[in-house]
Amino acid sequence: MSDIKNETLSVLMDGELDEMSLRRVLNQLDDEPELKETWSRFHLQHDVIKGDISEFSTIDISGAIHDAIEDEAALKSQVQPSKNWWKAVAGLSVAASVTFAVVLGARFNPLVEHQGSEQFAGKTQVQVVVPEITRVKTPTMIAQSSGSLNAIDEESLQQAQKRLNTYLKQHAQDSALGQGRSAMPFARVVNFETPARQVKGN
Amino acid sequence: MLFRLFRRASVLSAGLALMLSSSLTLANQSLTAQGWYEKMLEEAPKASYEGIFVHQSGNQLQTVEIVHGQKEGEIWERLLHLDGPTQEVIRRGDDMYCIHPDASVELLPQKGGSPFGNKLMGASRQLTKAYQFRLLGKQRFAGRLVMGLQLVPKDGTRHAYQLWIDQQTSVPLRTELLTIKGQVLERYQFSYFNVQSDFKEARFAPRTKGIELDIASSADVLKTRNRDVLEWRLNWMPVGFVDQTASGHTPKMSARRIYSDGLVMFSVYVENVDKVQDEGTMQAGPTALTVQHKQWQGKTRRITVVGEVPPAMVARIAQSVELL
Repeated sequence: MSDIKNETLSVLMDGELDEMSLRRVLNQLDDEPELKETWSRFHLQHDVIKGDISEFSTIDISGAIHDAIEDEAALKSQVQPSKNWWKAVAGLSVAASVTFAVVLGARFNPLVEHQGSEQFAGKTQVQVVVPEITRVKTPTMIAQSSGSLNAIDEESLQQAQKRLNTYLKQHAQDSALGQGRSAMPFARVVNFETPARQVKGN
Repeated sequence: MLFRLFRRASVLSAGLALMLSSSLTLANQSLTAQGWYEKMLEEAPKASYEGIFVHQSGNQLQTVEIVHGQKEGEIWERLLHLDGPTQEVIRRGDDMYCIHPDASVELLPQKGGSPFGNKLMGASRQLTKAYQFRLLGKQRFAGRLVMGLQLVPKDGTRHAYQLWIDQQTSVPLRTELLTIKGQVLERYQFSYFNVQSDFKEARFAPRTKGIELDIASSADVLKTRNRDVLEWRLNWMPVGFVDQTASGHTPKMSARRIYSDGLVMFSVYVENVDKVQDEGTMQAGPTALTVQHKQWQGKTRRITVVGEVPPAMVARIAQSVELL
């Protein structure tokens, strides 16, 4: 019996449990402290395997999953659940970050594989809390459409870099202005400063 | 709801903090985490101080000098970047100036001119929709006694926030934005903090030589071209976020809109493009960015979402843009 439950938990960890089973397991988690402990242990093992154990590891998130399901049941029923959407997103960020690393240069820390999977894998609550509406398509990236990164034409690369920097800077500025109490958040803006010539313009 | 175990721990620590706070004033003693937060919103802008803080974004560090005070009811401030090229931010009331390394001066859009309008983020009533307030207890930073607070997200769609508030002035001496796994994405921390009893105007003068703020040119606001003005809406966004776009800007017909949950914000840009230049999702310190494209009536629309939310969220928000 307990083996079956452990197996179910493993499937839940992988985010591949169907909704019926998910509800059942969550109810069981509430009733059975032992099972809950196993669930925490699984997460811990998962984190240790991935090498990113943290001070928040002991936090119990099953309650949040439960609540989120209740809250968003209606929303969920309207959409086609896609079980592994986060894998697609994670894959996308890893691949895309190669492009962005080139586009944005050294100022950025693109999502490397480890961070990418940390953001998405094991975050079963993200998968549940956030109902899917459209499946992530494989994006057309510079790297793909042109065959290799070297083939990107210099001009559109620079345009993309300038544009994204402008957006990031504008966002940081608005964010700082929106807080309005101290100019401290402006420290963030400098991260996105393009050479003064571009900023100065008029 | 989230982090039940943690909540139990925090009840304990809140109790402990209460016991330890005998040296505080009577008013402070009864303050909840939310009370401390509101006290900070109210009192921190009125404080007079100078200091040096470190800003950490991802793995980048920079040191910044700050002078903060009030003159005739207006906030005056000066920020000087101490590392790398000389950059300054000068605040005179509502006017914000950026002084760049080449000594050019830029006047940032006035409140009315910025899409933000006069709405400020951070009212704790808005925050309680998405965050749970917790007291972390007393600590010591920059040689001063502080009270630590934690804002834990109620769902997995946003990051957590921690701050340590100076007990005398209510200025936050350390703030952190972190993932719910505890990884710090961004941190501001004072290493030196000194309360000033009087206002000395000279302290607020730009350090860059030969600067006259009056002749500053206005910031190059991102121009909205006619063809960029598209009608669109978000058919999904995380709980607690509201459209911050000022009423002066037509809400439906705008190339850019900003949304805030009171603590962090995200910006959404929707534009017409001729070709797909770049696409993908990435993260820079606390800020995630995604570029995606949608076909609509034979045209390509580029959707860019920038915000201090997890990368999966900016991607999801971009997907939820509905073109009208």
